[in-house]
Amino acid sequence: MNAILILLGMFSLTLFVSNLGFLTKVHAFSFLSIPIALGIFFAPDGLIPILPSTREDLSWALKVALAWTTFLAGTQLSEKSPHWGHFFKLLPIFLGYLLFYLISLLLISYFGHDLFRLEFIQPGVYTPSALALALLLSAALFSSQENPFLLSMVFVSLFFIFAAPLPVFDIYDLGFPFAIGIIMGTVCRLIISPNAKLDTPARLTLVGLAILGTGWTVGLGSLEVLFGLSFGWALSFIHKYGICKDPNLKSSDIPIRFIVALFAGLYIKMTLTILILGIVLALCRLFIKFLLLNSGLRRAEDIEILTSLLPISKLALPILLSLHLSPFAGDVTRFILGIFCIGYITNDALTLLVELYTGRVLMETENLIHE
Amino acid sequence: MSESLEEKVDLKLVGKSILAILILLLSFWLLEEPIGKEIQRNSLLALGLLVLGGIVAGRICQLFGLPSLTGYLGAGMIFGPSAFNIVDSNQVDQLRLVNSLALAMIALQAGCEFTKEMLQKNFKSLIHATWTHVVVVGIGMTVLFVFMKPWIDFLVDMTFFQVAAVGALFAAVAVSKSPATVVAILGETRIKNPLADHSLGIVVILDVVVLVLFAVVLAFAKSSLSPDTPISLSSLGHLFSEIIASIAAGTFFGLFMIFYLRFIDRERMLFVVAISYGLTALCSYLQYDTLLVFVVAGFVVTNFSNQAEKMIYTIESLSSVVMIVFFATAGASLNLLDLTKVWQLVLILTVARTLTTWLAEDVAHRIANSPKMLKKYGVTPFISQAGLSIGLSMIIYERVPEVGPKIATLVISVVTINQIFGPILFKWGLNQSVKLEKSLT
Repeated sequence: MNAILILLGMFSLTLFVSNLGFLTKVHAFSFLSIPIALGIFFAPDGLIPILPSTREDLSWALKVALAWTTFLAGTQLSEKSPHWGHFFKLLPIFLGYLLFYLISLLLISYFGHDLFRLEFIQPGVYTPSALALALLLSAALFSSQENPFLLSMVFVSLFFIFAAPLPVFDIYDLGFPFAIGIIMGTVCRLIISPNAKLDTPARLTLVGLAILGTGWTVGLGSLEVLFGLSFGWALSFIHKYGICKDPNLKSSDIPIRFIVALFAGLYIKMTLTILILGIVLALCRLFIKFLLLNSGLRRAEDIEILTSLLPISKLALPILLSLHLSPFAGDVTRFILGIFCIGYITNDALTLLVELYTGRVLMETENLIHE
Repeated sequence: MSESLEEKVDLKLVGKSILAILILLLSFWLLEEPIGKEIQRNSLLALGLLVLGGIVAGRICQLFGLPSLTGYLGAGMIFGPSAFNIVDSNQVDQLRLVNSLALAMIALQAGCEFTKEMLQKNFKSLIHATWTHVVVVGIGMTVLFVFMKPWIDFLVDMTFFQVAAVGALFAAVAVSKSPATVVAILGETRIKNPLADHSLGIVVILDVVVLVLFAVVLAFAKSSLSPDTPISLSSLGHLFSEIIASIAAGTFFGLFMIFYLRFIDRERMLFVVAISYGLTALCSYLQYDTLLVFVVAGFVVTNFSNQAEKMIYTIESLSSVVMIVFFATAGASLNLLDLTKVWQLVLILTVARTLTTWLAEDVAHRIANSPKMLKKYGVTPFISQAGLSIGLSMIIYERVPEVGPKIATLVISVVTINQIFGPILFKWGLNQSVKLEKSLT
């Protein structure tokens, strides 16, 4: 009970801060930085620490939240199915990503041991683990709403990042959650009729299936986010299922993403290494993205820059947090999560500045159109 | 405005739902046996199974005109330790966190439905039914225990006063009803008539009355069963101060809810969850009556503002999942094994409680000259028993070690039968009352 009270208190505080008039008018700012920062503040290793048991008591609810938020993303997957035109549009982004990956690899692998005292990195040696660690981190951090391909790389890197004595990610860890998601999707199609709206019984069934699938995936020792994505995709695949079209389905997305972000902060052990790497990588990310825009390789409208290109993908944080809650969790996953979260906050702060600088022009344009 | 849990159910939908459950169970087996990947049981798996099983069992019950709640209970019993043990007792215990949320929301909803007009309209029948339930059921069950002394093994060696004290303890629990069941069935059927108002009023009033009655009886029972313990009514004074404090706390939080809904009105669902858990924790810490605090808070919201509709809508949106988990967990907790051991005695006690409850209602409505509907079907809401009764039996278990475990087993067994048949009877009563209302108009 205490765990719930403490976390609800923090969550209320997040909502209060997020609803401040100033922030609600900003496009690029994702709001998730606030709960992440609060989480870091109240983490067991933070400034006002809560007990680790307080956090662990609610980890089961967090797992459902992670599955649900990826389920919602999964229902949108069929809309974003890749095609060649999309690929060519993304090609410059991949070039930028390659540069970003090399920078991450250099920072982690070369400076990791000497400057930052990372015990799990061999000095100057590009081990598969170091390559995969840099791949995972850079893909997650560089991703934005428009490039789901980078998120695929996140999953691919999972196969290489773990080495003994940690449990090693294998094909079953990837396959089972997808299979469970498809089974749940099939079951859902049987229980809920195709024309059903998202009324109470339908919502109840969806929640029940999400909880069951999460429990099943967790019971198999795999990642619940994979199940969530697969379940959402199975419902929207071919003919998008009736309930997926209901706009009310998305209403739960924002509160749940807040919870996920708050918990992500609670799992971070802040160190100077993480702080420096996070800030440096976020600065590099922004620099590379603007480099692409200014070089003319990638063209975008102002609004696209502020809503799609600069903000980090909504899926990246749930995936990394899910990894840290899984049997694969360890110092490596905590390290990645930490850098990502600091990078996220830095990126949010930087994009907020960008928006404040360019946003006036944008808002004036919007007003003109409106008038 | 609000949505109902009730949906259009036909044979095809029920068939597809059963097929879905079979596919699920087959998939579990396929993954575990031929592939050999062991699934570690966890509370999420249990929760998901109970929710889905509850939905499907609820649909089957609806097809036969039974309340969905019976299906939820049935799913809990089938998956629970008494039958297939897919959900074991540890997992059931882990799900109790949801129960505190469910109880808070049930009480809040009951309070929100409790309008001044409803109280004024039903004042006479509520007052008379309250005292008749206490007197008729209380005395009736006590007398039954005295008469049955030779046949109840743990009473054989006791004196007359000791038997009467044990009987009075059981009787105090027998007076208690199930607010959760009443609120759930009313929510499912959406019926609003004098029977609905009467049932809601009585379960809420009796909740407070039973607490006082139980405290008095417990003091006497402890004194008569262990002669070294003097009669102490100090706990009664303490109880009265707790009740007054609970009403004050409920009023304060009711006003706070009005303030929030009137001036902030954001993330209502989260607000209800936060206030439900927060206030439950506060009540537990200060030893207030949680149910009373929430009922009073709901009453204040309904009668001193125009925010009740928002509140009820929010609670109903949330309560669908919570109700299934609450009743499915209750079903999984029911101990069918104990019931089979003492079934003859349990059957007699259950029948006696039903008869005395019927008599209490009959006397009350004759005196109050209530409408025909209440005279005919007034007893139907009050057969169900659930959390409150089990909670009281646990207090007896701990505080009266001489006979506590035996009485607790009897209470839980009687509650099991009442909880299986009570909701069915109440839904039937409500449907009949609607028919009667139509025929009269």
